[in-house]
Amino acid sequence: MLDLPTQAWEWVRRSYVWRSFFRHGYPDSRKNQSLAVFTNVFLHLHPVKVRRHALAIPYTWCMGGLSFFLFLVLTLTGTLLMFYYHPTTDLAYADIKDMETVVVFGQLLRNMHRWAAHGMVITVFLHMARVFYTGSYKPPREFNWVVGVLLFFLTILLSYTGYLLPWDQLAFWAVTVGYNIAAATPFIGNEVSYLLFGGFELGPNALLRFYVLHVVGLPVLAGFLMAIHFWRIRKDGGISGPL
Amino acid sequence: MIRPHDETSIQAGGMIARLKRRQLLRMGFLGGTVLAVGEIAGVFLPFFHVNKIVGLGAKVPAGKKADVLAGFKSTNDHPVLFVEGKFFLIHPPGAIAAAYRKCVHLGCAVPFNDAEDRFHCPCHGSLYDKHTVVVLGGPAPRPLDLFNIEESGGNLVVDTNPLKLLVRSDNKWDPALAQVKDA
Amino acid sequence: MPSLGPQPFPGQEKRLRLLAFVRQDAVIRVDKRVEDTAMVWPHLLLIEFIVAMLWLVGLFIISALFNAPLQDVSSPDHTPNPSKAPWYLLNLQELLLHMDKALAGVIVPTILLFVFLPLIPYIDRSREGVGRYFTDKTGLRIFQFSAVYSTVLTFALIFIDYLAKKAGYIEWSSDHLPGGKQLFPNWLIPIGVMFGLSALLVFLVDRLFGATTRGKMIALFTGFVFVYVVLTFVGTSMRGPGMDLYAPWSLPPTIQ
Ligand code: HEM
Ligand code: FES
Repeated sequence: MLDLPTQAWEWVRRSYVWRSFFRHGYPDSRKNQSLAVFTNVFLHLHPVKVRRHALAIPYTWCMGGLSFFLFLVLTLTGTLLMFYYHPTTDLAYADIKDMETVVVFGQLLRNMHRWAAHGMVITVFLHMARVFYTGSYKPPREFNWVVGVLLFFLTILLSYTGYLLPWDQLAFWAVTVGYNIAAATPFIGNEVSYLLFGGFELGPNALLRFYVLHVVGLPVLAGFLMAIHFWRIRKDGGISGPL
Repeated sequence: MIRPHDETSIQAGGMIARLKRRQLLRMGFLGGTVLAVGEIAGVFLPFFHVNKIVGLGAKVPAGKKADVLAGFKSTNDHPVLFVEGKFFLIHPPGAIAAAYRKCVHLGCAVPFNDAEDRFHCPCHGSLYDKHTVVVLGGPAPRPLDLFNIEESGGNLVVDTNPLKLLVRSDNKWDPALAQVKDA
Repeated sequence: MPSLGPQPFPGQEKRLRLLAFVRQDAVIRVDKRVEDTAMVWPHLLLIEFIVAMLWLVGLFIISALFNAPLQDVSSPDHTPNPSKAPWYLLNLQELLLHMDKALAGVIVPTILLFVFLPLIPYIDRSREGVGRYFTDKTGLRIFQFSAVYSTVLTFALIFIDYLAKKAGYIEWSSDHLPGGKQLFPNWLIPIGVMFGLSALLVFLVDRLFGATTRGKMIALFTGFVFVYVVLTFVGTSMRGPGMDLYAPWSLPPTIQ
């Protein structure tokens, strides 16, 4: 009787259906551990083995991994926020207020999205610093450093476009500062700001443009770059280490 | 043109014949790609360029001239704020003008201060005259900028395009700026 | 427990095939000793899982304790004084107070982000010190020196600018300098200061520590990081109404 659950579990694992899903046994042997990483689309971001050196937390401080983790958290919480948010000047602010007062767990969700966004700017910056100070940009990792710089830029753009969306005083005037900076671009300043913000001032067009960039354009671009980033880490021989 | 060639045919054919088929194709592909990218950019830039403007940048009707003048008379020339178009109608000597309310110092929205009877920017305290918006004090480098204003059939229309401002470097009212006379 | 045995998985009956050609660099090399490597499952995945969970819990706690800011609905009529950009851009806004808008807001960040940072690996191409923080003892000393150098100088420059403007430097320059208050105060002097001090830093680490290219890069990058941090700090906690300079502990609130 007592080993019934074990037997049932065993039966499931031997079934044709299970084995069509997972092409390896429980990862308690080297071979199965390898296969688990190797045959899983998510885990195979990793190689099967890494240098022991790469496991040391005081080496990477996990800052790259945490940047990615925060990106995932932001994608999830952001998608949930989208269910209640309308990107129009007369609804946006009220939606955020409702999010805080009416929607169950809405305030917590908004807080998480906001703090994770701030956190990601910090982790990406720290990650860049660690990559620099460990000399990890050196050959063969030059290109990945360049991809990283673009990711840093995108992270800031993502934060900045998101900042406008609550459409409160803080958002409006903070982004206005950015508008004036964009307008100061030599020669093409007026064109640049007009194009980015869709007008001569912050209005419905700017809100909608920022929204589209924030929820679709920039995340998709960042996703592409991250895919390249991770792929290149492996192709360049994994996390850098002493020669 | 694209056929196997030998020394003589190359000699005879000049520049074109000297291109190998592979080079020609390669250049064709390259050129095609550049062209496509250029076209996409050429299509997208105008696409993102907003053509219909509401609010700042549009031509904003500012009421009947007669009403505005009557208003000035009854309120002792109190400036009239148009929130959408971001300007004040003001009453300089002999004219009606539209002052863009963006502080020429660092861009704060300038309000009219009734108690002081002049414009007083809350950010760094620039002061502007009630009638002519010339600088009375504070860090502002020049008077408030003016929008172009015109009169058609007794109605006032203000062009709020901030790229076509009347910018004054002298700190005084210039009668040449009187686009709409108050007579 | 009955073992699953060596039966092949569906579709995997034929086991031997060529997977890929792999460059030497891209694999864990066979001739390395076994102790040098660790299995990803369980070692790495465990670390990742634990770190992710700790952060998730931390994020929950922070989000439960502190609410994201939300002020009144926006109104183009009321400019808060001061209006500040998000904190990670306040470094640029701080620069804006010291030089021309185009220089501070566009040219400097563009050069930093799209020229200086991407070029680092193409200038410093030796593989010296890969995988070791600061390369060696000298690198660490260069780092410390550059950190102090750039922190002190940035604060000092901001303070000098403050004193000079208080003493009527803008008025003086518009009367006495060629190009008025634009050419020298807003362009030439800031550019000169930025280039001059960077060059001086490189020169100093060369003289004091006999820095290699890597050492000079450490100096420049550290300069970038600490100037960035100091400017962000000043912009965030030392600029009050009118963007005037205040001590961080007596910063007046924003006038709405
Ligand atoms: C969205 C932002 C980013 C994400 C999600 C990300 C993610 C990662 C991850 C997970 C790693 C593995 C090692 C680690 O955790 O430290 C890594 C390595 C690396 N990253 Fe990033 N990164 C980002 C931005 C950057 C930036 C801003 C730079 C530099 C300018 C950069 C340059 C590199 C390089 C050169 C490596 C290889 C380091 C080595 O082999 O030791 N990345 N990145
Ligand atoms: S912005 Fe009006 S005085 Fe500075």
